[in-house]
Amino acid sequence: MSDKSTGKRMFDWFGSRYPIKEMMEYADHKTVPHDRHFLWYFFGGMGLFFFIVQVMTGLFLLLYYRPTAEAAFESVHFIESKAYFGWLIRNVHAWSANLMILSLFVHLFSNWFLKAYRKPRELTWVTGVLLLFISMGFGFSGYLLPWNKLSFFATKVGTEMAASVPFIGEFILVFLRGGEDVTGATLTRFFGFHVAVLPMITAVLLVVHVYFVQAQGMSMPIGAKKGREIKFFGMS
Amino acid sequence: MSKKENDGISRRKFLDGLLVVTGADVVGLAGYPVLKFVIPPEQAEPDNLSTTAIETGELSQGEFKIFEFNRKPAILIRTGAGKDDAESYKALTAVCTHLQCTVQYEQDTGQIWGVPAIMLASI
Repeated sequence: MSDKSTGKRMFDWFGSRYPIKEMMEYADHKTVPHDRHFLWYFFGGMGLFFFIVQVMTGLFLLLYYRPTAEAAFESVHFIESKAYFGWLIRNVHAWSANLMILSLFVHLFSNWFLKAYRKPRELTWVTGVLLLFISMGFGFSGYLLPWNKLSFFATKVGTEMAASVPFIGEFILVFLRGGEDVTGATLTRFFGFHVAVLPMITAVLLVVHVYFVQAQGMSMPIGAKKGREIKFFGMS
Repeated sequence: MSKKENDGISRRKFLDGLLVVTGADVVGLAGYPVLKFVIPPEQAEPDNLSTTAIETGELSQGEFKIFEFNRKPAILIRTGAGKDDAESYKALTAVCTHLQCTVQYEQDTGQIWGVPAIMLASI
């Protein structure tokens, strides 16, 4: 046996194949501004945190949720009353959804009022707004899944609103509902949007959005002087 | 560093320990509900273990029907041609003892087969 620890040997194994050291060095040198606007820099990360909570609790709910007109309501009832801590998982999913939208709106308005969208960060703004729209799509599609009276009529009204779009409204309505009315076909579609289509689009946009922030650094408000910077990872 | 280095435990060690304990608590508090959640709860046994598999005269001799009994498949075979009474029927569990597939009754040979076996035999 060598005198190196297992952790060190694993690090060396990967390090001689991938640029681990360089990546850690980069992370170690990453700094963020620590000025009087620093509070507003938190909300994007908080939105990301809530999104990760949504993915994890959502995966757990998938273990018991059944997306058919016959079984959906019963399976939600099962999660709430029979599965251990199902009430907790479902409530964390619902609360984190609301808090995620809240964080994203604070994030949007702070970037708007501090004019963070100006050159060179136009596309960060555009991808961010797209992510907000998708998040609201998550909310709208997820609201139908419990398949109770409230979610049924919310979907009926929401898709009816979409139908008032000029020229293509009727098409959107039929596309969303999977027919003329809100039925089990709508539930199947919304489930597919909620757990497959929207997550995939989000994953791509999120990587692009975070990469932009990473590549360009934090935006400074107009007229603000470059002040103190602190390390992003770790103390000191 | 404080002057009393010989107290047995340094501040740094104490804080490190506190961090580990707190971290373990957080992981446990989040992990326990999740572990409990992924294991489905035991379903209560049905209190009445009787069921209506067929209507009188539904099966003629040599025919069979798979029905659900205590949440498992069971098979009812009409073996006799006589009057519609208990003597002309056989009720068995339809779960194969091999790999738990649902078995079927073959009228020609009067044997019970696992479904995959029937499919293999017909190739």
